[in-house]
Amino acid sequence: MADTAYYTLLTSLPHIDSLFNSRITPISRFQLDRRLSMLPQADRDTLVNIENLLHWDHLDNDVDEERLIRLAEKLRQQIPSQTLRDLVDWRLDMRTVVSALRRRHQGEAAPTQPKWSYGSRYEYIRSHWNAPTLGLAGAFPWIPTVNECLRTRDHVTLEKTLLEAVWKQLEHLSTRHRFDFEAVVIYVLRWNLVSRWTSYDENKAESRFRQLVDISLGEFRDQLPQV
Amino acid sequence: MEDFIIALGWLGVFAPVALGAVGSAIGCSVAGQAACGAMLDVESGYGKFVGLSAMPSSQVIYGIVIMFTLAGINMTTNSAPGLFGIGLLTGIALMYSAVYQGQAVAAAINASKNKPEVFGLSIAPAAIVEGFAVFAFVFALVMGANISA
Repeated sequence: MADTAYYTLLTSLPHIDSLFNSRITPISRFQLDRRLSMLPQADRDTLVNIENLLHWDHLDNDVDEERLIRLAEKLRQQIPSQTLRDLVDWRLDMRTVVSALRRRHQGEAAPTQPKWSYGSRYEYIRSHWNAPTLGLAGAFPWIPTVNECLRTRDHVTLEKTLLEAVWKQLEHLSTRHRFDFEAVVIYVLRWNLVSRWTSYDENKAESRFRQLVDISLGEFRDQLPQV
Repeated sequence: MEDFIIALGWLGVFAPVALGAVGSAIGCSVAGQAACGAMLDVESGYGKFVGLSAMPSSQVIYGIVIMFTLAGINMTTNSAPGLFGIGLLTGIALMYSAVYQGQAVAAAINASKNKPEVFGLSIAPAAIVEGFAVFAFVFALVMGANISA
């Protein structure tokens, strides 16, 4: 009856209705963390590992990809549940697919390195680089939409398509997990999606874009003509 | 050998209470934990959650009634195997129904916390599980009466 430990935590978390209709998160991150403190230490460590694997917020601007792939492998192996490992693989595969589609759209050839990304399908993607859907239309039915969005530069629809795909996957998984650790992880990942969607801000995006441009220009920034 | 058969008979007499108590303890604990969690998330209506979480306690009450009924039957080597079978199997049925009723109640608390208007309907699965415990209880009494006859 180890599962009983999760009843209090899961019933204390407010229901998340929908992604795109949400205006605010149903619970603040501060309150969520307080509730998550009910988890045993081992579960908390696993949850932190999964969040670190799936979120890029903590990464610097200069990402060492090889180190990131090694770290992902290491963190993935520390996840005790097969369901959660499958979920992490699915999300990482999704990242690899989107990265491959973007690279191909920019005219890049298939990566030469065998271990060029993370997840479980990077080798398959590399060998199907020239197929329109990377040979994965069955597993990822949103690939044609992403291709079309990249072609038409419709970045808003692209972002919504990807968020919706993750939302649906989590919703599907949540029907099989009600009061266990997997259900806690699914809740936190759904909360993160809502948090991400509700925090999109035009002004902040512009400010971040200018910041990235400044970082890219580096010392050449001052040599540009002032507008 | 006769003593062993008599011992099995007494085991059967007490099994409904013991196993029913185990099931009720687990079921009420699960439902109670869910009620405590729900109280952190809602501003009112705590009483109905706590009341609902006591639902799996009925199994141990059925177990006590069965125990007194079976204990009233004269314990002989002829009646002991029957008492053992009825008591043990009824106890197992009561234990599992209490455990699963606790889970059904936890789900009902979670659902009605988010959507108060479904409170009545959300109890239906737990009530159906209660029905199975009642079947085991009633027919244990009927079969016990046959042994005494």
